[in-house]
Amino acid sequence: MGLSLDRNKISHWRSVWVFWLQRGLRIYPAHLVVMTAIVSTLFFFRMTPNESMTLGSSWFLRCYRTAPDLWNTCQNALLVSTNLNHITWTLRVEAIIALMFPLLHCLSRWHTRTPWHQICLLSVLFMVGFANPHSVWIPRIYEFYLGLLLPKFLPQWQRLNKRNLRWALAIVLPLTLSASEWSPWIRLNDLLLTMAAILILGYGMHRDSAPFWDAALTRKLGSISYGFYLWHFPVLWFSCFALLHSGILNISGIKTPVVTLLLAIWSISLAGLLGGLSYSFIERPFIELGRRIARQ
Amino acid sequence: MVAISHCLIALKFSGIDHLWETPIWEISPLDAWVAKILFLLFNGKLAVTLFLS
Repeated sequence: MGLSLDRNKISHWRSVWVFWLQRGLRIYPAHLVVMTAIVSTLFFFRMTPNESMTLGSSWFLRCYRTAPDLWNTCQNALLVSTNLNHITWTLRVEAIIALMFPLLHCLSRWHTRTPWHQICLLSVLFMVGFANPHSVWIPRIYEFYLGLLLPKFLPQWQRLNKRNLRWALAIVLPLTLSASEWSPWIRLNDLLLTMAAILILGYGMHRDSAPFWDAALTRKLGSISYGFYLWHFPVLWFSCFALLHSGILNISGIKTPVVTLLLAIWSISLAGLLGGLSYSFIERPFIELGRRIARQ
Repeated sequence: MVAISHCLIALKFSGIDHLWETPIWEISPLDAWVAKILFLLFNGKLAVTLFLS
């Protein structure tokens, strides 16, 4: 959605290249740093499971079974593969969508009196996504395209009654939560999630909500969110591995909910700290570099 | 939210391995049931589905 709300005018080839360069500088540096940290940890510490690991879920035990080789590391660096930091699949989606951005942007800004072409295009994108249920990125195109249309509607939303938006959110959000279990209807789930995101954005951009979005804490959370997202998985996994491997849980008999709570507090706090450092020392310098290149 | 959902699926709750795939009516211990509810709330389903695919 953040990419969708990018209102830069894509008017000629130079701005297209600049856009791609800025997206690359936004996504890759922090990703490469996190990946280097993961590869270094796997290189220096052998992640051999022992009998104490039986408390871990199969999802947890499936990760980092073997140490990565150079080829696998390069694939992960280029986001061709995402087995070193599993959550980077979303980065791959963003990179692919960013490549298509100029075309999608032009299509979304193609104004006619009636928006039938937009509805047809959205329907086609939705059907393509529906026909490819196992594809990670194809279904995201229509979600992204819906987001691209947002700037067109947001000025009208500003005039909407905030209470109506609240009602719409109250209907869509529970549907979204329950839909997470409708696995045969996963594309419907995606649509609901998109609607929820759009409503939250619309609600957030309402003129009465400005104090919330302008608050220092909201801005701070927004700025560290990417770094936090990249760090949270390796921090959680390696912390959990160390905890299980030590065998403390088997000896002490601490209940799983307590361990999960402590693990969440620890890993989220540490990932937040690392996300802040990542933003200050890696992301922000590269964002400014991208801006400087764009101005030239 | 994704971070919390990942925390919820790292360990087995009362021996249930695939908590995210187990229907709620098949979960009997209270802690696993609460974890399942929390898991739905934090909606990590999509992320986990991708790991399994």
